Amino acid sequence: MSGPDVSALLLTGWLALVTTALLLLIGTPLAWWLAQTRSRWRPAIEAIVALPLVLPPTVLGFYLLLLFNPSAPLGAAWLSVTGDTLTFSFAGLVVASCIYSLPFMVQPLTSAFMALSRGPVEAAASLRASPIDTFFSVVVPLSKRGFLTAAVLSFAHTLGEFGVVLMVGGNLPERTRVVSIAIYEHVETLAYGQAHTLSLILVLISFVVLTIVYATNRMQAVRVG
Amino acid sequence: MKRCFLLCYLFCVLACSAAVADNVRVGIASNFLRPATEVAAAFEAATGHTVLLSAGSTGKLYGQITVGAPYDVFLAADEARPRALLEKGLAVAGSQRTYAIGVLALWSNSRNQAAPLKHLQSARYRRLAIATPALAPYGLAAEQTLQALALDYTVTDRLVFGESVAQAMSFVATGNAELGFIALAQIKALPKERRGRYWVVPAELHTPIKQDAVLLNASNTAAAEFLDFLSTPAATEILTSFGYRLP
Amino acid sequence: MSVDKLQFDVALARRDFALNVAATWPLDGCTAVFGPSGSGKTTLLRLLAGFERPDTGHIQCASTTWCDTANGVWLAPHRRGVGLVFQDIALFEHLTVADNLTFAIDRAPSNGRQYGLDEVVVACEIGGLLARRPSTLSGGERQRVAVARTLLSYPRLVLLDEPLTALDQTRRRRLATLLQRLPRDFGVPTVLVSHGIDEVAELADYTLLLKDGEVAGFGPTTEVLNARGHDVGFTLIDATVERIDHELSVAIVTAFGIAFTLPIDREAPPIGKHRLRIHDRDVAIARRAPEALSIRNKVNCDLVAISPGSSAALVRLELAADGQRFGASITRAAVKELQLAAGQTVVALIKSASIEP
Repeated sequence: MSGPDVSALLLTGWLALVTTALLLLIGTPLAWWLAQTRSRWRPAIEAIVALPLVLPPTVLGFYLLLLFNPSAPLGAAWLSVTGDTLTFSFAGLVVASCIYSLPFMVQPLTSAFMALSRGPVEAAASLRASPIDTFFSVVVPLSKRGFLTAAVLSFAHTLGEFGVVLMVGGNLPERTRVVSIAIYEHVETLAYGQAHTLSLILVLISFVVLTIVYATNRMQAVRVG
Repeated sequence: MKRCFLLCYLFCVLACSAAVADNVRVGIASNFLRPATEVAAAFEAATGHTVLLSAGSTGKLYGQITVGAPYDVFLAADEARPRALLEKGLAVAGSQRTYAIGVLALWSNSRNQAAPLKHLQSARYRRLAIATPALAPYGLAAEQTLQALALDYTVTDRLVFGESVAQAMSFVATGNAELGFIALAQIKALPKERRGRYWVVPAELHTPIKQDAVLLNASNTAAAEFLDFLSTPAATEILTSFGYRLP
Repeated sequence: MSVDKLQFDVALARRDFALNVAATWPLDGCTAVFGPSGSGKTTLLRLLAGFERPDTGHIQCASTTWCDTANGVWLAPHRRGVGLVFQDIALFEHLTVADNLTFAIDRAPSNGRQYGLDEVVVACEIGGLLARRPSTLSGGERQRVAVARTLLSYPRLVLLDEPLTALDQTRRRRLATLLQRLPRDFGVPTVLVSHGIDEVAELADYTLLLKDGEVAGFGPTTEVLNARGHDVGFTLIDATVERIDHELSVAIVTAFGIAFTLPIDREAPPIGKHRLRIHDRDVAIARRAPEALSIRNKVNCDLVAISPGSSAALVRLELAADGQRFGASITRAAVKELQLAAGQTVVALIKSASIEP
């Protein structure tokens, strides 16, 4: 495998890791809110979270291009704070990936939280545990499986991200040239051998990661049931 | 029952052969879609045949053709892919010809900026968009132009790559890059007030962007007619109006 | 020193249900919230725990206001110190029994602890379960662990929601005994939600009777349950166990101002005040005191009223002796034959009565 391909792989892995970590931070409170709230805004928020599932990546990429450009408020603010643009930068890819993979984090978490009966949560409150205390000492351990599923799916989904990156990334080696772009380039230039190598690596990683999720789910089901 | 089958079969065969006789299916590089639409209209008016255009990137169309996509003519954006098809025996020998030569332009979306070339040389810009050289002939030409202008070292950190010349254009259009090397044809396709400022890159700064066509289906005479039609004055007039040079 | 009180007046309306309840009771002993299902018992409990907010009203526990909608006061559930033992016991499945207990201890206030872990473990009989996971416990064991965990949070009040419902007779007995000890031995008042009259009669000192979201009666359990009349089928009588005759295996009990002899089936009740439960069907009537009868307990009483019984063949007699009212269920035929009428003096023959523990 060539140097650029290795660096594309590493970059992709790093992007998926950073995205998953950020999504855990953003998605967890959001999912908890969605699972708990009786607000009439809930369906609307749920729909927004699910949008990246149904929209073509080009829609997302298009709007991100408009939002990120240095004369738009967000792009300008980012530029003045960091000195770099959001488009064509790793940070921009992270933002894009977070939006793109958001439903893969939030949906499994929300259903895990909703599957928790109110019993343990109320029991914790009756034992004088504050809501935050309850969340970390009861909800999180009881939703372990949901967290694993959400993290793995977000990670895997980010690995496979293509359309959005293509639109806002600018294909810069070691900054925004992720594996899917590298594969695309190899296919377009008829370098099928290199395309195969990278593709098979992606297939393998995705397979292993998904197998882990399903195996863990099964183990849990067996232990409980 | 048997007779019914036979009838159906005959009907299908007749229907298909009738359709193929008058239809020309053209796989066409996206950047050439607009002029091709006009050329096709002129061809249809002159001959009564029907032209079906399918646009895509040259690479994707090539991939489709190698796995049997039913195009009669392939209008590529480069020379390499038609040649590769010939070598594979998937195109009609001797049918490859250059139908147009792409013109590279340096484009700035803003009228308020200095002339694009000055702007580029001043180095007072953040991003310069070009098409990925490995993927797009215009990208390769842009790279060569930068070398010829001895700017290739100063731009490395500012270059951003579009998957195609169309994407390079969108980077500039959305303000994410101030300058971009794109096809003159793309600029000409815009309404006048939105053409911004551009500098037409002299032909000698890069190897010519030859766009080659090749015949894929020898049995379709209408397809061969269409290929020939491309070099008639009716067609070449359209090509030059869209910002292409003639071979 | 006067006993602290729990005082509330709450109203809450849902689409198909409204609750409007006001009551005050001492934070002492066990108070039952009793009524048929759908009467709002559990909703009231959730309001007290803080898991539901009333539309209007207030809840005051001793000197602490838990909720006062008029003044916008709201104390979050975890600040109320209300222990819960619910029907579907929510033990933390990811922790061992010991860690479930530690969870409570770690979060309990450190001052004013009247008892320790060891006492609780012994009282709840869970010493052998500490290393186990909740998923490996039986229903009765889970309940006892839940009680222990609640005790170790040193609550101001413990809410029990149908705690005995899912248990068989033996386990029920064992848990009921434990629940009685919460106020008695650990000084933790309890609120028992139940639709089972036996549980209420056995455990509760006070009873709040709920019907369709409103208070249908409130007071000492004997009064409330007796006032419900014949649809209960028994009467609770205040009585005193005077002594135990181990030789004959009977308890000598004073009730209605006379001495009763009651057989003891299992263990002897402690000497002191108790309740007698006398089922209507266990009371026979004679116009004059009979002789040479196996029934030992005879009470002279007034026949206050005769009303229809639980079936067409039966009538219920309302009787009064020594200021206590109780009931008897006899056949219509017997009423005719004995020519019974309200205002007569009769002899009630009490075939059996159970001493509530």
